[in-house]
Amino acid sequence: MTNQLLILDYIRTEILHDAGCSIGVDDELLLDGVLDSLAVMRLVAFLEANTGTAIPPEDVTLENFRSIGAIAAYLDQPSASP
Amino acid sequence: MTHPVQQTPASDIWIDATEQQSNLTRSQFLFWLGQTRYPDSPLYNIPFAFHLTGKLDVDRFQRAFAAEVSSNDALQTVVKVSNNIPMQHVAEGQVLAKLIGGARNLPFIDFRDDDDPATSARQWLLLHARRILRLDERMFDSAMLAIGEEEFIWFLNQHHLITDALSSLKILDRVMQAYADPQQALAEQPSFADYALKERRDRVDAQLEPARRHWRNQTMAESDELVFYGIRPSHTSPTSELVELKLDATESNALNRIAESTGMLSKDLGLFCVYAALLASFVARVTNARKFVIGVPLHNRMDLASKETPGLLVEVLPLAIDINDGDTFQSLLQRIKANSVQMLRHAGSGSTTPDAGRKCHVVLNFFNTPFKTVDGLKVSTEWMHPGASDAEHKLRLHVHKYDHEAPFKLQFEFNCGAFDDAKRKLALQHFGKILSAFSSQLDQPVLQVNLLTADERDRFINRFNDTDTPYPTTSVLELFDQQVKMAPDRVAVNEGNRTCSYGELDAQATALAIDLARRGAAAGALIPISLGRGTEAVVAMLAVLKTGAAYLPLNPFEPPLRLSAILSDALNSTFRQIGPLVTMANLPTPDVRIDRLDIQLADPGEVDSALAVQRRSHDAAYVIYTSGSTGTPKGVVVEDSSLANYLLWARDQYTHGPVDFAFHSSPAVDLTITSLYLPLITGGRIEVFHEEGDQGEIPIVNVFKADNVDAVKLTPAHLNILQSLPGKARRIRTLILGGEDLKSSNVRGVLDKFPADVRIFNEYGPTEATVGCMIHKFEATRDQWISVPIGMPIANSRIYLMNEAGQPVPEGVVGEICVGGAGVARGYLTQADETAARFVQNALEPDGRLYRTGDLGRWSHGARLEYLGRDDGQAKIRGVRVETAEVQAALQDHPGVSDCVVILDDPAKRQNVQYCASCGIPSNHPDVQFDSRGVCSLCIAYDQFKKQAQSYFKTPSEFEALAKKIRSDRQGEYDCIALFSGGKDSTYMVYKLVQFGLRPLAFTLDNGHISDGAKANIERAVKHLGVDHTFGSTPHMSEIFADSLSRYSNVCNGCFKTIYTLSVNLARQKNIGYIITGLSRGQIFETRLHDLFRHRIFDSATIEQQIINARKIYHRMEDTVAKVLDVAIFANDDLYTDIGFVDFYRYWDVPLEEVYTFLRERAPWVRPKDTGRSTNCLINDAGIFVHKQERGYHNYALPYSWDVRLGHKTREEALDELNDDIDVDRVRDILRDVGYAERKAAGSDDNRVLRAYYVGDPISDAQMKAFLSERLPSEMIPSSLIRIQEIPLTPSGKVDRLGLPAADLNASREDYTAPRTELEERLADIWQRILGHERVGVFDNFFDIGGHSLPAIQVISRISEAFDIDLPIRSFFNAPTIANIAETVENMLIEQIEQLSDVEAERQLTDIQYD
Repeated sequence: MTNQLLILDYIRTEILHDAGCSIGVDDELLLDGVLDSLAVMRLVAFLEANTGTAIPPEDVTLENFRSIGAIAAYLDQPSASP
Repeated sequence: MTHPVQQTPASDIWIDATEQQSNLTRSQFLFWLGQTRYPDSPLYNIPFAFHLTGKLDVDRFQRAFAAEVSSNDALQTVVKVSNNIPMQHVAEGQVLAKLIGGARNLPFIDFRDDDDPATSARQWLLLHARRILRLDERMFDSAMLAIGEEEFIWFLNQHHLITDALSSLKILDRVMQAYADPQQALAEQPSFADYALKERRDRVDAQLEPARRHWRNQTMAESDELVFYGIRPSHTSPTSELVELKLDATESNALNRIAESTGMLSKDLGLFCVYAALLASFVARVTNARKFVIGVPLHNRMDLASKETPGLLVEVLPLAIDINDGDTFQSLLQRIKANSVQMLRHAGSGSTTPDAGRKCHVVLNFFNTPFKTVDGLKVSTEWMHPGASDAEHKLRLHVHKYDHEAPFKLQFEFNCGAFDDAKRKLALQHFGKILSAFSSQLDQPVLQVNLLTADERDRFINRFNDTDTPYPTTSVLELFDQQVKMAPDRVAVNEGNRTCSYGELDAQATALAIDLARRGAAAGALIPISLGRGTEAVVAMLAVLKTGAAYLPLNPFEPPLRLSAILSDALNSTFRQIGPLVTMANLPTPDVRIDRLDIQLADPGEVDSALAVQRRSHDAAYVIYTSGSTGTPKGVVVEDSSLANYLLWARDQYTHGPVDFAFHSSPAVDLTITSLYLPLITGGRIEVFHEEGDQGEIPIVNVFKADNVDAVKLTPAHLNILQSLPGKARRIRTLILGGEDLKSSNVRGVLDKFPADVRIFNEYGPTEATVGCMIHKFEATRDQWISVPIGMPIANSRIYLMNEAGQPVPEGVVGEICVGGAGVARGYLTQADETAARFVQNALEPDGRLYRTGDLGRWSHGARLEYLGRDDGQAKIRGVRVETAEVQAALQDHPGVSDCVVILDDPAKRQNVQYCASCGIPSNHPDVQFDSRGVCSLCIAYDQFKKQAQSYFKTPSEFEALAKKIRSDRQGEYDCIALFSGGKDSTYMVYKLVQFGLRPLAFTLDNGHISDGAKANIERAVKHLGVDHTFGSTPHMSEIFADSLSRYSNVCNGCFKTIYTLSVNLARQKNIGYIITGLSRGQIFETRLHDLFRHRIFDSATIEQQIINARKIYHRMEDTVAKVLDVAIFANDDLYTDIGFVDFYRYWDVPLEEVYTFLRERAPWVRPKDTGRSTNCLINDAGIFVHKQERGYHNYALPYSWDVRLGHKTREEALDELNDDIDVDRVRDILRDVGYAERKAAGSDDNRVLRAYYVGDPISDAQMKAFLSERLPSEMIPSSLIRIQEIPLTPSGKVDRLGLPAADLNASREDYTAPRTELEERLADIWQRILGHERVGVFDNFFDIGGHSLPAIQVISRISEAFDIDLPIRSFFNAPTIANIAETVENMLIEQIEQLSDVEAERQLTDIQYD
């Protein structure tokens, strides 16, 4: 599964509980209230466990986590340490 | 709420167990617990006043509220307590109907006819917000208040057990929704009960273990105590007070901008970090804590469902704060950002540990408080304060953010015990200072923000230091000259039968000065004076001053190496010339190239007075050496103006006209300056008291006995000596105490030894601030504190209390005492770095320079400076300033020492341990005493009942018979369960069982810490023997270990109990009738017989019965094992007789060596290398470590001593086995894993002694002390010297003091000779009592075994009292051994008796013998 799908799946099942809400790859997660800081951290822990990537605290920024696309792009960049 | 929690030492365990059994969530349980402690306090009320503006249809509102109550299972929840366990359930039937009916008939209270409806309503609200809610009936209270035609307040007060902020706002939302559209049914909301169930499941979810480990580490991390403004509440109380602080738009905008610049996930998270940084900075500055946690309520609503769930989901989690010296707001904010991310990452239902939220004393709560308009009603939300909050929370900061534009509203909730009224006001002002510094300049150091309010500045800086006193610019010589001119014939110095008048003294000094000047003495020269107490010393000092030079007083009786070290240091200084050394013919020459001038007082004849050199105020007057923290003594350079300032002030303070002083202390310490110069500038007399030997300051006794002076300058240690002297002084009327902390009790102890009008002054001041810089006159009625206050600064001196960054500390907060003004010395003679570190520039001080004393103090009771001692290695021992670093440096000089550490230790806390001569049990075991032969009471007792005790043990042939019975009783597949740990004893046993033809099922508890080596041994042995084997285990082993450590300070109890519990269950399952243990005979004695024999129970039937009874009690005890394992079968009395418990070694006696031989030769058993003490288990060392640390002795000491007594081991084997080499790092890891927080031992600083530990060649104490006494004054010689393998270090690389072995004065001395006569025995008894030693040999030198002058005086008075003689002090000091003193005492007694009649003599002899 690509990182993007992985995130999408997590948000659908764990956050939205398949409640019928749709979420797009570029939708604002934080500003629209889909995720708050606490939920993002949970997502971070999930991603670390499932992608084998360590996400240092200083990388958990608005820029990197504003949308599913942004998160996937962050994970896919070569500097993210496996 | 009628079940108060019992406060027992094990209450933490009780709490954990109760939490596990309750169906409350972790947060709920915490609140329930807090409420239970304060059943009559509304500390968990969450009252809201929702202000509704517009037209209100009350009936419609009531229906809306009823609709919400019927759909919200949190509101329907009640908590009932049975068997002390709180259980919650959703109300049903009648109760539920009543709840909904209550909402439908929501009380409507109309204040509109009142004169002032708003005020009346406010009063009503305040009253109702504080009403206690019944947890077992209805956990909320509600009403509608009318205060105007279109103004209403909906009051909703819920217990925190069923709500949190989001849940409360959710209720508002839903009620307003139902109100707006009554036709539309409210959407179903998720059930709180379901959430609670899930939370309890999550708590044991293995996937969340890493998160729990995070919180365990967090809660175990060291943190500083939070004491705000020095107030330590005498008891905790939940009463709190809310104070509001509204920020203005500029402040709010500044904070918003900083929050945005953090680049965090959301602006709110950024703001949260900003406020956490502000709060952390504030707390650090007003508590001095640098490491602590801020409790943060996290909403825990991470998915859509939980966002909709009513009830309490919020959980308080600790945010770690760590403020370093150099931190700026910016760097602190960065760290808080990272820590916040860590905190959020590990948050979530079930992720925390039970105590994660319990240890927060400061809380930061961040609210988004909404306004909204619903169906024409404008709604605004007001959270009310019920007047109480969690008693553990000393301070809570609630930040309310209304929307993006509006300014912030801050609410400070102060616990009233931790903050009194004045401190609450002060706190707000201090927070304001932090806030404005933070928002104006983020890169400024946190510790450098100026915190003081104008009022504090006025009190602590200006008025306290209002000491300006104009003195004429003069030198001590001019003041002396005035006396010479006024009364040349008056006696200036009296020394035995030699007196010296002012005229003679001046002439002698001038004559010497001329000689010195010829040899180069002049301004810029430093002249060392090495003279004892006497006229010569006075002449020499005056002479040097007359030449314009400075003098360096040395104590000729100090070790020559120290003197030469000082002189070598001086030779490296910038003084133009050092020397000549002024000394006397019979005194030693230090090993330094320096000219020597022997002083010889003769009639000086006509003196050339043309020498008159004009001294300048900034000339150096003297250099005095003090112990240095860098390891070498440092010379303090004091200028004329400082000396003159002190003396002029002292003259006004202490004297009215001529005053006679005692010259009884060393001229090389600055204490003595007062005794020398005050007489000389007032026309008084110096009375010389010579040195007596070199053992301490005994001349003070002579000063007291002679009673021929007006005033004495002395140390508190001197005062202690006077306390034990008989008699009373009539003339001494002024005592000036200096040198160390003065205790009120010491002063009170000597008051009756002086005339009623005696004046006692406490003069505080380090050498670097010229003798004294603060003064307090003792007043018995007023000075009731433990320490006598150090008072106010002297003339032209200024005192500040500063933090480490040079900022004055607020009231109550500990700071370093810093001195400014006339007394501040020029600096250190050679050590530029030290000078720069201690003599600092500070903007507060008009002169610009401050001396940092290293002493701590705080402002209390308005503007009283309270002295708090030191925070570093410096100590005063018998009035002498001692730096452990200097002692360490001297020790390190020894060629045989490769590494060393010197500590100040409290002997009361670490007893000298001796080991029983017979069994080796250490003397610090609580059950034993030792007799004079060094044999323990257990061995002595055992000697008496050996026969009965041994009759408990049986023979191999009896076992053979038993084995036969076991075989014939067999019902299932096995004869017995063999408890098989894999260790040496049990392995040997299993082999023997098989040899006896038994078919055992070998059972091993896998406690999670069995070494691989042991497991391999087990595997090989069962294979070798063809025996069936099974591992038992439980997922709760960590909890069991933690419980065992808390209860017994060991791990074995928990392990044993688990083994018994699991094996008994197994025996029942498999229908096995016997369980056979491999307890050693020592363990059998310890666990089964020790107590019985202590009570002299020897009858074997009684013993068997008692053992069964003990077993019942043991298995029915309410501990963790009982909670987490299946212990149901132990309730049945028959069990204890149905299953036969057999201790194999009760029948089988085998020496340890033979066990090892057997295993080596006959079994595939290899001693594991990774297990430390044990032969199978890795956690055992952790238990040993904790036991030693908490109880002071080894937990195997008792069973091993029984092994020795019973012949299973030799004493040496036992001692060797007890001499563990524990890997502390590994042990700490294990303790962390099982979740056990080490308890720290508390300490006190009285009666401290120096202990030295060194690594290197073995060096005898006598040799080492001889070596040290060449380099150090007697006060700095450690009272014990202990050779160790290596210096233990903590993980942070500091010396691990707990890892240092307890000093053992007795064991290190091979030359012990026990008292030989009754007289010696009585003397030894007196010595032992006073020195606190277990034993003292008759040839031990009193001063070599930790004695000094104060205990010496005590010993002398005790001996004099006991034998009714007047033992001369000198005779004691001349030959301080028991043997010698016994001789003296005997001679004195004989002398006395010879003077008596025969009859009297006969009677007295009898008395002495049978006394």
